[in-house]
Amino acid sequence: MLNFFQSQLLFYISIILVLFLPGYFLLLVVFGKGKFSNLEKLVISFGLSIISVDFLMLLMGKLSISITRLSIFAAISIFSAVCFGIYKFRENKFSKDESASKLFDFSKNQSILIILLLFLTIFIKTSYLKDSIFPNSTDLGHHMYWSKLISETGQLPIYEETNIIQVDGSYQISPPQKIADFIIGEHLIFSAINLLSGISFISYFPSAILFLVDIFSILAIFIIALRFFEDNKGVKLIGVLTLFLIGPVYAISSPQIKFASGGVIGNIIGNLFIPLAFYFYLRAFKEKNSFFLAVALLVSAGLGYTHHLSMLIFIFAFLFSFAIFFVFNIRRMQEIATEWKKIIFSPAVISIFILIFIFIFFVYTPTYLNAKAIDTAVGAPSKDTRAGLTFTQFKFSAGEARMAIGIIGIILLLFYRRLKNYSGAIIAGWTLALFAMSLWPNWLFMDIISSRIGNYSSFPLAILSAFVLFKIFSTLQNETSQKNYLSQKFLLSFFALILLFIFTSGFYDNSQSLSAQGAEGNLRSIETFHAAEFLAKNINNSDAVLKDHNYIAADSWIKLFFMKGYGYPLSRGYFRRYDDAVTKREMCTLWMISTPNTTAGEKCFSGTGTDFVMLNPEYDGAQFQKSKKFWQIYSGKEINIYYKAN
Amino acid sequence: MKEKKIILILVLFLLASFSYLAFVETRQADLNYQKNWWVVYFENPRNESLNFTIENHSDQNKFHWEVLQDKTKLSEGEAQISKGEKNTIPVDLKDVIGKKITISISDSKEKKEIYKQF
Repeated sequence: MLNFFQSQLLFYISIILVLFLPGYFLLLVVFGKGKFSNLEKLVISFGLSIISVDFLMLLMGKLSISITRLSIFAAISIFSAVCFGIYKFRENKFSKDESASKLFDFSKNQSILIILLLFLTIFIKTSYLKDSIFPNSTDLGHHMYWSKLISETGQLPIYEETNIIQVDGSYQISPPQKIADFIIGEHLIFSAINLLSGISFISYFPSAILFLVDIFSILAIFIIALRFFEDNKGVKLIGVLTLFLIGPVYAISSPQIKFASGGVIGNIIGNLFIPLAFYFYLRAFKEKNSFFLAVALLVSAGLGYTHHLSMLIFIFAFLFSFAIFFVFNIRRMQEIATEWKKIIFSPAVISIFILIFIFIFFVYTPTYLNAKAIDTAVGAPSKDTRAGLTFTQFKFSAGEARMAIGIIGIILLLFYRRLKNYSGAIIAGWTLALFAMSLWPNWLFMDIISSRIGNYSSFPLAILSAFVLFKIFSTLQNETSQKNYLSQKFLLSFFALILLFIFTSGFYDNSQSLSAQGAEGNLRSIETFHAAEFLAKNINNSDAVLKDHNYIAADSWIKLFFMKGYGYPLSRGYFRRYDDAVTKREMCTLWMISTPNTTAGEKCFSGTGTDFVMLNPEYDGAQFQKSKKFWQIYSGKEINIYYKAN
Repeated sequence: MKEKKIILILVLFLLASFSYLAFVETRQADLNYQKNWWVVYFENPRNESLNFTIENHSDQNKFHWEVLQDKTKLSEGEAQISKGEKNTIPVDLKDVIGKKITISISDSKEKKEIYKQF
């Protein structure tokens, strides 16, 4: 029990060190204390900390400084101390912004409502996570291999893997080949927390961190909603309604807590950085402040170092926002361009541009910035799953109620002439870009899985839906207004119906996810880990291991026990992969488990040097038990290990 | 001030949630807690040694083991292993070349086998 408390304490200290301190001090040195409310400081510090730690670790890697507990601690401490020192030196030069304290000064009832919504959000997500916190999701296992590699080697990883290739009729393991699927920002913070706290990668900690990021992305949506509508009298109500629409309702569905337990790291962090980037762009142009633009660029760069899809979505959302703003301000564009010029050509912004340029070209180039990776994402849709969603599919991605009401929100923005404001242009551009990318990707010449894009739409649609609800609510309140075109009774009924729609749709979605899961998969995962641990103790450098992905639980985590390469052990993938008509796949991993005693199977064993096989005996045990070449050396309920002795 | 209270309460919610999840996961990761499984494996999987280990994480404590050459029983025994413990059983056989030696272990509910073929 003492160990549990000790590890918990170290874990929380590491979270503060990695995910709050550097960002807080960075914020302090750039803006001083007066530009943000406390809640904004908390949320922004979190996002900026991730970016700061990423860049610090990248710099350490470039300078060949070994990434260890001591060096990480020293880097974060020095960075924070330098920021604080500069802040103290410039302390008197910072101006104070009163709007922040007014905007976030909630009434007692509003505070209670916000606390209640946060409680419900965390409670529902925790209820879901309690059965899925155990580390067994495939994606998370893949990602944690790279994070563990950083922790073990003290160096930035080279993203590469080996494959089985056929040379002159025989099979062999290829030399390592570069892979563009992984991006460094997805792995660094996990390594930093592991190094500082000593907590195991094979534990609750990766999902817990993603859960935290998910909560902060919800708070980021809350603060940006308040900033979007800060000139509106009912801004706080819009904020609370946004929190309701992005918090407790659809709390489990993708891209929220399901992505956290599923280890979809890039999406989860992307959903934090996208609203944060827009937050800073909005304030930069609205307040004509170059420091906000500098930080906006820094957050955009952080996004670029974390997730390619999120970055692409952000670029499109930005371009759509710009186009909308341009169209609705076409007569004033010359005057606006002069304002922009002053902000852009400022020392702060130019410095950040130079810093980003240096990082991309001299420190670390994101792995996806190569012709092959770009080619796979751009072009006509190559598969059905990339040809766009139907409206029905899209509503499941966005949340039915949010989508329906959000569409009305865009019409309302147009009706209330808000699209010529920065706020209106950004929220409309953000939403419309996601609509276009999800529903009609061929218009934008994109070749990316459409459902993955659709998941991003829940965030802007929540803000738009909150705006619609507020408009109905404010019309109801304002009984004497001459502007009411519909009767109060009708509006009241309509408002009640919409709330009912949101409640039933959002909570039905939650209940479906909660009832569908169970903890029974955890025992299967434990057996996998036990078998992997046994094998890790008994293999040497000349051994090659093959495992099955179809019937073994948590198999992607097996590589964390060996740490002999991303492609180690070899894996029999899903059967449909071997029937891919577009890309020709190697067949050895299939043959070695499904038909080990055939000539092709034996040739594969011999060529790849595979001598240990991990599989589920219920499905694949028979073919090995028939053979005289294999020893059954480990026998469990869900997993057996065979050794090829002859 | 109310904003600070919101932050404080949020931090408390998160702390409670994280601690609960950590506690739940620690129990889920416990090989024995509310679990019922056991495994058997060779002490040395790649040489001729037939010593094997039964690792028990089930509620059963008694195991019966047999050493078989094809279907002929060469030796047998009982092993008493508490939950969370393991027991290595030495098997000393000579002249095994060309033979398949199977170790069969059973508790009252299930049976598992491991074997080597020389």
